[in-house]
Amino acid sequence: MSNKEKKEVEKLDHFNAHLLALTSHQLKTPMGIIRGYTTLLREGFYGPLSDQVKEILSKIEFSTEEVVTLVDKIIDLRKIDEDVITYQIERVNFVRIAREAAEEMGHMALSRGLDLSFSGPDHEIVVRGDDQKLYQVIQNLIDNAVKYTRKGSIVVKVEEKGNDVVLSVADSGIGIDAGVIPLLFQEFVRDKNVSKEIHGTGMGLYIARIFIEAQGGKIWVTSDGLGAGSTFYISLPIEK
Amino acid sequence: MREKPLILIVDDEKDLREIVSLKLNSSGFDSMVAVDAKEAVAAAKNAHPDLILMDIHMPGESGTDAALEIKQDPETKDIKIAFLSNLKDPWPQTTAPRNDLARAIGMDDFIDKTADLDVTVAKVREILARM
Repeated sequence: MSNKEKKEVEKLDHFNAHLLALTSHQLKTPMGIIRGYTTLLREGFYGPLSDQVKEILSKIEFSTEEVVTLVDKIIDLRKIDEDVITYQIERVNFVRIAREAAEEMGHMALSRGLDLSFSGPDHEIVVRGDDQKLYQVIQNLIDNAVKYTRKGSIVVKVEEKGNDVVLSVADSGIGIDAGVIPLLFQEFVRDKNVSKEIHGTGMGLYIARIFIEAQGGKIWVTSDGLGAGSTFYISLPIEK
Repeated sequence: MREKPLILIVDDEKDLREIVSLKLNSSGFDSMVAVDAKEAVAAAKNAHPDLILMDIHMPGESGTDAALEIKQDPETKDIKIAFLSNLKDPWPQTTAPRNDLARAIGMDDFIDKTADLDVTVAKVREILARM
C-alpha cells in the first residue's frame, strides 16, 4: 500500500470512529423515547390494555434496551480491535467500586422482582486498575445475572483471598452448559440453550475478559449446569 | 412546606421531558420542566425545586455549566442536582465512573437516561432521602 493509500485508510478509519461515537449518542436518544413511551403505555398511562398487549410492550422494552447496550459494546469492541483502548491505571479501592456497581444495579434487579445483596469488607482493598473499566465489568456481570435469572436472588461478594481480591456474582438463574464454559469469554460465543430465549450479543464477557486481563486480573465462571445457576468471578492482585 | 417533592426536569427533548415528568407525577412527586440551561437556572431561582434532573448535551450552554452555576449561587446552592444523560463518557478527558465524577464536581448523582423508568424513580427517591 502506498503512503497516499495508507493516509486515505487512516482518514477513513478516523471518520468511522467519529461516526460511531456520534451514532451512539444520536441513537440512544430516540431509543430512550421509544422505551419510555412503551413503558408508559404498558403501565396504562394512556388507557387500559389487554395482558397480551402488555406482554408485547414488555418485549419492545427489552429489545430497545438490547440495542442501547449493543451500541456501547460495538464501540468497545472497535477500540479493542484497533488496540486503542486506554487504561487509566491508578490505585483504586476495589470494595467501593464493587459496592457502587451493586447499588446501581440493585434498582434494576428490584424492578424485575429479584433480590440483590452485596457483602464486602468495611476496609479498603486497593488494587491497581482503571476505575471506570472495573466498574463497567462488574456492572456487566450483574446485568447478566439479572438477565438470566427469572426469579430468586443475586449475591455480589468481595473477599480477600491470599494476595488477591476476589469478586463473585452468584445467581439462581438458568445456569450454563458445561461444554460452553471454556468458550464463554471468547468473542460472539453464547450458550445455544439460552440464546433463543434471551437476547444477547456474546460481546460482554469477551470485553470483560480483555479489560480484566489488561489490568493483571483473571475472570472465570462456575456452574453446575443448566437450571443450577452460575457464579462469575474476577480476581485482581491486592496492592500493598 | 410542600406536600410533594418538586423535581425540575431539564432536557431539550420534549418527549423525554414528558416521559420523565409523567412517570414522576404518578410516583408521588410534582414536576416542572425547563428546555435549556438558561431556563433551568431561572427555574431553580424562582421555584427552588427539591431536585434537578439535568441533561448534559443541550443547545447553547451545557447542563454541566448550568449545574455548576446553580451550585455556585448562594440562593440555589442547596438544591440537589443529578445529571440525567445517556452519554457513556460525558466528560471524555476524565476517568472514573460517571456518578463519582458527578459527585466530584459537587453534584448529587448521575442517572442513565436510557435506564428503566422505575430505576430512575428509585434513584430520585434515594437522592432525596440523603441528608
